[in-house]
Amino acid sequence: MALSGLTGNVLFRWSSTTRFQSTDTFTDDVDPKETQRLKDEETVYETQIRHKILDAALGYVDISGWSKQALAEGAESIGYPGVVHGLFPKGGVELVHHFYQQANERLSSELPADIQDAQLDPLQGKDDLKILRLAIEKRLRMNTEHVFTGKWTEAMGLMALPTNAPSSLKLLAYLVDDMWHYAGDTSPDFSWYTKRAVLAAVYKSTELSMIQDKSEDFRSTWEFLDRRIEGIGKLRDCSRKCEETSVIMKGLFNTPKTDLNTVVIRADLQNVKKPRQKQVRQTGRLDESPVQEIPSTDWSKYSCRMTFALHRLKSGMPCEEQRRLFRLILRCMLSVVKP
Amino acid sequence: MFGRMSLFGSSYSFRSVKMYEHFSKGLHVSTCFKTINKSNLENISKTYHEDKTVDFGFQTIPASEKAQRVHKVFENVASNYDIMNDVMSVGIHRIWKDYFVKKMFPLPPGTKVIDVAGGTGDIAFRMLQSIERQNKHLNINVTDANESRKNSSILISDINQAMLDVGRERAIKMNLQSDMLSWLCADAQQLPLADNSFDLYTIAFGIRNVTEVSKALDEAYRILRPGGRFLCLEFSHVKNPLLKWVYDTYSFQIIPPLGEVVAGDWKSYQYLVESIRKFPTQDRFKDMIEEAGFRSVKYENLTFGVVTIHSGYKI
Amino acid sequence: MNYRPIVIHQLFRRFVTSTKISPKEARETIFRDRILRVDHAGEVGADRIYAGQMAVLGKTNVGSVIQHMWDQEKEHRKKFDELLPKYRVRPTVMLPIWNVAGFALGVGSAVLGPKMAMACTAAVETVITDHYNDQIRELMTHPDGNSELLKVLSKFRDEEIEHHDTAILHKAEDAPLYQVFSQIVKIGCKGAIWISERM
Repeated sequence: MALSGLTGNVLFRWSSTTRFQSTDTFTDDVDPKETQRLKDEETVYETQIRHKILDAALGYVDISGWSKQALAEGAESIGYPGVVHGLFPKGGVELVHHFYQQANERLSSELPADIQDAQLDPLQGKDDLKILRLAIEKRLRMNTEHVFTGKWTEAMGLMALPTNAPSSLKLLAYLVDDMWHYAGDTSPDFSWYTKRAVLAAVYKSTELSMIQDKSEDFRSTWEFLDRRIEGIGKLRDCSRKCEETSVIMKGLFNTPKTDLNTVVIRADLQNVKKPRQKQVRQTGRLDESPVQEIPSTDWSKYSCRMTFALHRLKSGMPCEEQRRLFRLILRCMLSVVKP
Repeated sequence: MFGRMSLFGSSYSFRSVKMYEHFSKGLHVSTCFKTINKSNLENISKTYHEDKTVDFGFQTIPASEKAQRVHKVFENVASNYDIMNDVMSVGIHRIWKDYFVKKMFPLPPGTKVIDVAGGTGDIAFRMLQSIERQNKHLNINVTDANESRKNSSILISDINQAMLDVGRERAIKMNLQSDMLSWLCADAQQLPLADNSFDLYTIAFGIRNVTEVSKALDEAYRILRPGGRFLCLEFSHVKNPLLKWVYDTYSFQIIPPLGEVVAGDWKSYQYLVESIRKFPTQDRFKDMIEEAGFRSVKYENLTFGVVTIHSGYKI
Repeated sequence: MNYRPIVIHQLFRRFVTSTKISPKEARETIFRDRILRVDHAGEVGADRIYAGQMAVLGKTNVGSVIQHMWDQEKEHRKKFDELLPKYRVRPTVMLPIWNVAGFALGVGSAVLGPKMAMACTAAVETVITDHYNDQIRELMTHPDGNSELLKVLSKFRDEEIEHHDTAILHKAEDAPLYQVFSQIVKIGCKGAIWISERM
């Protein structure tokens, strides 16, 4: 303890000769890059000291909770006076964030090896849910020590306070981003956000389940997690089905001038022409009312063809064919109403 | 609200030096050594170069004169100091001081605190009460026999004996004769204390009156332990133009007449108000603290910048 | 797989500090993220603008010209779609909005006639070219690790200039109220760029 204090003493004396002072910035002949470099060194030095104190304070959390008290005790254990807790104006929540951040970094460094051990392949895209489940369980197990002592509840409460919520959400965002990255996500569109939002909800709900879990080795929490991961899978299937439906619906109102290949379903629509030609041949005139032309027994035949045609519509059709198709659909609909 | 003066070249007897050394090792000294007398004041002029000038309110005077004049100001105001504080700040100074003391807590047991320019003991007494409250709340039982859980100690230092006398009377009145308190007459620019002997250095409304602020900051750096904290509560500059106008009007039109009415001394309060304007801005003072060697220096404005708390660490 | 450590820096108060990455690297990463994010958003927007224009003018004689420009924009978009996950950059939150807005702009300008469509193209390409130039200039002050990005941006910038010249060649400036329309489109684009950089 005294040695670490001495080392700290030596370190700051040595660095104080090269330290950057803000009064150095305001002369014309000072190189701005040099100024920036010195500022960065200051930042790094101060960050290292803060991390040393925070790391030491983590050992006192089970006694003093996530509080300035723990920070003071941690500082004293490494040779600094307890008043140095003032470096952390927000108090206990800075300790929580430090712990959270450290756990996130540990996850980043250890997860690739665990993925390989479990023989999962992130590149194929099939194992992503399994990797996510692995990642969430691994990350949550890092909190178990504090869950046992009951201090994690306090930590979650601190993180949820309005003044601390933005920083806590940022940490959660980085965590889920990491998890999706290791699961092989390469989406460059809005699904980037939806995926992470969904995973954040799953993670948080599992965490909440964990702090209330009294079972052996948190078994019911992992079962809860399995159900939530299954839910993500179902959500994805649902969105895929919606996409297919939307493609069909889109084809119905496709504009004539498209870039895509046009496929003319002449064979199908030839049959549509027949009733009209037949009518002309038989009666010598064209009766415009379509209802009589299609007997109700032919409804099933036309509905099959219509469904097939709709599927083919995604490749686009010229105007003329579309108009004929519209008429066909109309006739089918009216035949149902007026047999 | 009213600051303290500083003096150079106070002479100390061998006995006094010994006592201070004992203090820095953890024993308590409860007597005050009266070291300021006329001959000492005359010695000051020898320590300054003839050409050097400093601000005394809006006047510029030779540095050698400042100490004497500030000393005289505080001799005059000492007896009415607390009443004037209440009258001029309409009691808000209590809130400032309470907030200032709250910032430094929790204070672990065994913390050594020095309250410089703390003559009448406002800050020290608040700290004492907070420590007692904190110990009760955290169930900390502190006994001298138990070396690992020693009690905190507060050393109140001021250059002006009159202010210290007022402080001692107040301590008696408030029943705060605790062995945690000690008193010391000393110049903030030249504290007769060992290096690395304190954990917390506080100065409230005092640094403005020091002849050379940077020297006081260097002394603070010297006597603090690595990791020690420097906390300064001082009047500062209001940025908002409308509020600035209100504040200036109040300072120059109301405070000196009030001083005349309550304490019978216009000029002292005129000086005090002017010295606030001459003090560096928040950012400039932050730079000065960094120049002394402190890191992680931050400041916090209270009441739109009327008062500012600067904080730095010796890390 | 590029397992890059978490980049969080104390420059921005709400960020938690990490000792695994230096402040300089963190600053450069944030800077590069902004560039990639806004460029990706820009290419998505351009893709949709041309899609809108083709939807209206695809069968006319300028159709083939727009088609050629559109193909190049699709290449640009594909490239940024690859770069974004490679550098672990978050795409802009405004993507659905730019999707719709770009298409609407394309359709809106094309409906007013082929010259207006060309005017819209010219205005958008001017803004994009200036923007790429600014980015290239900034990137050249930090050349370490950014050589690939510099090459890509330079190539795309040249193609955008080509689009601009093509649009002018196809009588963009003859469009009615060209100056006014051009200014409106430019201001809109600049606003979109500013938003996408931050969000």
